[in-house]
Amino acid sequence: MSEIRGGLVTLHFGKRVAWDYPPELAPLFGGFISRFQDPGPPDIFLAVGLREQEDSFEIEDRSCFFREIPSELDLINVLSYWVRRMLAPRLTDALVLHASAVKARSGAILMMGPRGSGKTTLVKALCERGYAFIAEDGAPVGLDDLSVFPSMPMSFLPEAIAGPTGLFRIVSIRYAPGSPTSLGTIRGRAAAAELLRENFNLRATGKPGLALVARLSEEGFLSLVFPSKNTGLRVIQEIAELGT
Amino acid sequence: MKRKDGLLAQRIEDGLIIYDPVRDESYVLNETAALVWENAELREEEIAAILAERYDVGKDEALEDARAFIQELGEKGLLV
Repeated sequence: MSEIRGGLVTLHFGKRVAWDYPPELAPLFGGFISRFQDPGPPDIFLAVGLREQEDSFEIEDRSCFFREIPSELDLINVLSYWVRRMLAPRLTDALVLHASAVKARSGAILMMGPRGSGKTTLVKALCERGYAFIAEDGAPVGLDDLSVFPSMPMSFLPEAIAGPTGLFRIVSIRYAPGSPTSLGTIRGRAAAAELLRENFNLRATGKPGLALVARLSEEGFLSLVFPSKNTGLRVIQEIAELGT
Repeated sequence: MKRKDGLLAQRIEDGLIIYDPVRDESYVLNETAALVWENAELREEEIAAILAERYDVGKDEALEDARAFIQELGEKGLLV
């Protein structure tokens, strides 16, 4: 795609993305995606188009193609994945953790863990119960002020979406059917190892990112093992409401 | 031995975290390994003396530990 003009500008990971798209996709960009709209000069331009070949996205060309007009959720899913691939490795002012996040009364709660740990299940359930969505699979924590920046979801369309929110709690989660529920605190080397494993962009952040890992690991975070969605949900809600 | 150039290191309360931006790999060292890494340019006997004083162990035991950690850190590519 030779010329990217940029129409709608939306906020992801604290960066403004200017989207260029053909008229056929305008209704989709005027829908859910527009809820991430943010005024101000764009940091990056991305183009979305239609063409007869198979669906594809080109990281270097900053362009993404669909063979036919996708559903809104399919569009969100592809663009969200693409934006993360584009932006996370380039972010130098935030450490992107492998976490979902919602906004609670006291701030952002991050649910961090590897694939299959329950991040999507819990964030979806929390959003269905009125919590504002921040992130589904990649949550950027600002290196300076610990703000958590919103980004598009991947697998559902939440009702409420939060703006940048101060970090309140990180909870390391593990969905383990058949296991007893356990909630503890993890800090020091064990916490550092987990943060080092569950981030997308330490290479880009360099020393400041490593300093944030040290800071968060010394403060410590919660570690939750839960055997069912309802149990995990209940505990996270208690953490959100009581701050414990 | 000496510390490999280009590594990023950050102290934490119970050890040291090291990140190798070239290989995009990270390491978490316990306090003893951290002491060895930080003093890697000293002779083995000098490192052992530091360990012996810090942990109140005999010289022989400290030297054995120092050598083991030096070997381990070398195998991980953190010392060259």
